[in-house]
Amino acid sequence: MRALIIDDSRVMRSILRRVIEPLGFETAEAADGQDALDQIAAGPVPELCLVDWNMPVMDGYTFITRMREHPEWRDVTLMMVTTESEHSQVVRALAAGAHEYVVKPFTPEAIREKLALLGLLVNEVRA
Amino acid sequence: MSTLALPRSDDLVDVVGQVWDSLLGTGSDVVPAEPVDATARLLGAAHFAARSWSATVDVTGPESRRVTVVVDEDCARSITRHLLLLTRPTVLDVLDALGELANIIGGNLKSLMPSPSTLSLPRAARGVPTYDARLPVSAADATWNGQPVLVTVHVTPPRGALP
Repeated sequence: MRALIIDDSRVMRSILRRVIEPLGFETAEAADGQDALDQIAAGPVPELCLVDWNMPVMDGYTFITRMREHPEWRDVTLMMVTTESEHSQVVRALAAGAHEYVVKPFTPEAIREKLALLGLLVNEVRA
Repeated sequence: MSTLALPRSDDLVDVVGQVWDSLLGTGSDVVPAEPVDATARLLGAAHFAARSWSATVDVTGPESRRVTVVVDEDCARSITRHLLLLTRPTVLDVLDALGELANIIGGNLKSLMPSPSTLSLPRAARGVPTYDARLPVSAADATWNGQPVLVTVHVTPPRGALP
């Protein structure tokens, strides 16, 4: 399965890659929402997007709303991974089309549990 | 300005502690720092090596705050090596690592501050920022592998008034 990690921080992209690659995901990275949309439009379409909220050029909330404008991408799972922890922001993101929401700082186990709930885990963590 | 509008030291310590535990693993220790001492350290950089790094984020809303993370050169590179698993981080790597620390700390503190508010993108640079010593501040002292890290939260004046 393919995952696109969307965050303006290289550190966070690196951390997330290290968390989900052992779970069987092939990863790609984007530094902002527009970069992510361009990559998805060019293909291949990922099964999962991990999306930061606060990014330059295009933020994560706008990315999610743009994704939901495309029926051909409706099967892409969108998980926000962000510092925005207020209930109103969580509600807003889920209403816009995000499937799950993780607040930074997170543990690898939290990511794994969310992916399991979404039915996306195909490989267990290798020993 | 009322210092009651600042995050409590305990809350700041809790937030920084969570970030440290999650991102930096064990070997961390976070305690409140005296505001007067923190202000002096920011103004004079007396407790840090000559080469220092800092990262800031702004929480802008009914009342605005600036979160600042200050480390010395060795600590900056050590944290960056740990986060990126690099043996020789570049300047851009260090800026990114410190910026993300400030971003996560600021984002978590934002939920404790008056709402609605927005979080700026982080800014990181060499050097220690200077603030008007009269600005109310709360602070926390953290360590990373025995090296000091200072985290401050300033009440900020209206837009455009800060350097």
